Amino acid sequence: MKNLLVYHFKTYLKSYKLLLPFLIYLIYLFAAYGIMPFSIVSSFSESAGVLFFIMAFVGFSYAELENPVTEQLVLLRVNNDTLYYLSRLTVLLIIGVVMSILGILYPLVLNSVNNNLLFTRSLQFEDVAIGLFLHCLMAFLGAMTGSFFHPRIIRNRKMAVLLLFFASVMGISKGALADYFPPTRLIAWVFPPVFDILASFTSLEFFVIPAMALPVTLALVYGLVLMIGQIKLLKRAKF
Amino acid sequence: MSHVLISLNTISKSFGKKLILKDIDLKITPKSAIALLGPNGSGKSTLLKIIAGLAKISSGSIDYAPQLKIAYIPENFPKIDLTPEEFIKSMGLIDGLTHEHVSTSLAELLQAFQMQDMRDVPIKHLSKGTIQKVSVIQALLTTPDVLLLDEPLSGQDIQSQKLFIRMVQELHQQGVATIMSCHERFLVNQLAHSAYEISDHQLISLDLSALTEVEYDVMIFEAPAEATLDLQLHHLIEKAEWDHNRLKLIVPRDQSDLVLKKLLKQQFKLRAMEGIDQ
Repeated sequence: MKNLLVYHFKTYLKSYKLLLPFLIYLIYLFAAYGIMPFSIVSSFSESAGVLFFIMAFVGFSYAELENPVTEQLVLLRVNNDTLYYLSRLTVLLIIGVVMSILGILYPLVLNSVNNNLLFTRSLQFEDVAIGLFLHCLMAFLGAMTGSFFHPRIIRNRKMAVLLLFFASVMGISKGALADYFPPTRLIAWVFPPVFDILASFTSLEFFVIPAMALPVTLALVYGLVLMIGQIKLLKRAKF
Repeated sequence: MSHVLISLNTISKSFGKKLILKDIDLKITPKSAIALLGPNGSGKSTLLKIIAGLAKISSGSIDYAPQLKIAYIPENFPKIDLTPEEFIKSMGLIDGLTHEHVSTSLAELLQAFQMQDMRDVPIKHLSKGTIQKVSVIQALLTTPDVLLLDEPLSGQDIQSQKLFIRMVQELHQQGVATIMSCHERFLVNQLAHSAYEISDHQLISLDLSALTEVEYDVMIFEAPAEATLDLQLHHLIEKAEWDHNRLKLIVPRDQSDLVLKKLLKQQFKLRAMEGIDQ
């Protein structure tokens, strides 16, 4: 597994495809924390929401980068298709965790530079821990959503890009849409539960764990279904 | 009788409504050295992928011996960002080899294939022939049970072809089963004990003795600007490979003089010529 991860990392980093989403997220952080003070809960939620989109893009570009010939050569060596695909998704998860740390570390550093005046109240350990978890969860959800649109699952690339864009936008806007058109609630569960998580913090001054429990469970299940689903589909599709 | 490593049992393969292979039966044993012949699009590469378990079959079944190690040399190795050293080392480590073992084998193979100077050049910047060498080296890092070769000599220089043929012959002596798809009949003579042609979606056994009577010459020409080969010449040639204005031909020896005369008349310049030993 270690050698597989190193190989995937090398392949991905050498393609420089991570550079753009990394820079975009960095620019977002610079811009978002430009004028203080901020509500901790809303700024962390917004940053996690942006990370969902960034990681959806990362997941998609990572899946696109996979070359079928090198994939075949590695699959023959590993002799365990599930392990191979898990190793690829693990790389995405590691990237997601690194981006999440960045998303939390930047305001933390900025806060200490500004004599703890970045936020409207003093930062507590729970804020940092839950904030990091929230970022990781959104990164996981985004990565699994993006990587699901793998070229061997959806062969038409234009269609895959459009579907990913639609699914990502619907994931965050399905709540507002449902307010205007209540029947859309019937199909809203199909889209990533980004809105469901973010809505559980709306107007709150502190993160409330009981209010998060259900949407977080939903997001974990949703991400896992996408993860297992794409592994099964890729194993079945073959070449 | 040798035990069976892979058994294809009446397999068929279709892409959508298009039938590619129909009711193929094939048993691969440690002594197998099989060549698959047939025109482009006849299903040779698909059959190799099916044997490797990389392609889905539409019907039939495949049985594999336990713990079978299959190595594969694909026809078109991709232009990736990694260097030959990075890629081959990664493959060796994924294979379970130690760092020392991989480094030693890599150094030997790079030297044998005259690739030391290119070890740090991204594969995407290498020529077609050199990329094909990477494809060959990654498969030869360890000794597999079954070696699948899809047009393995495509684009390689004569020295590398000879080295490759010798290496595959050595592997075969060690009991490695080889299944190769190729256009070049001269390769069949040297690397196969049995040959099949894929015709009308089925495997037709070929008489190898008829193939072994043919001897070949390799000729390398510098072509004039925008030159092409006419149809008449194509009929005389076993294989033609273009690399910009460089043309490599593999020609049955009894046609060599005729091909040479015709090309010299068309302002081609002969740069090298060599017989292929049987």
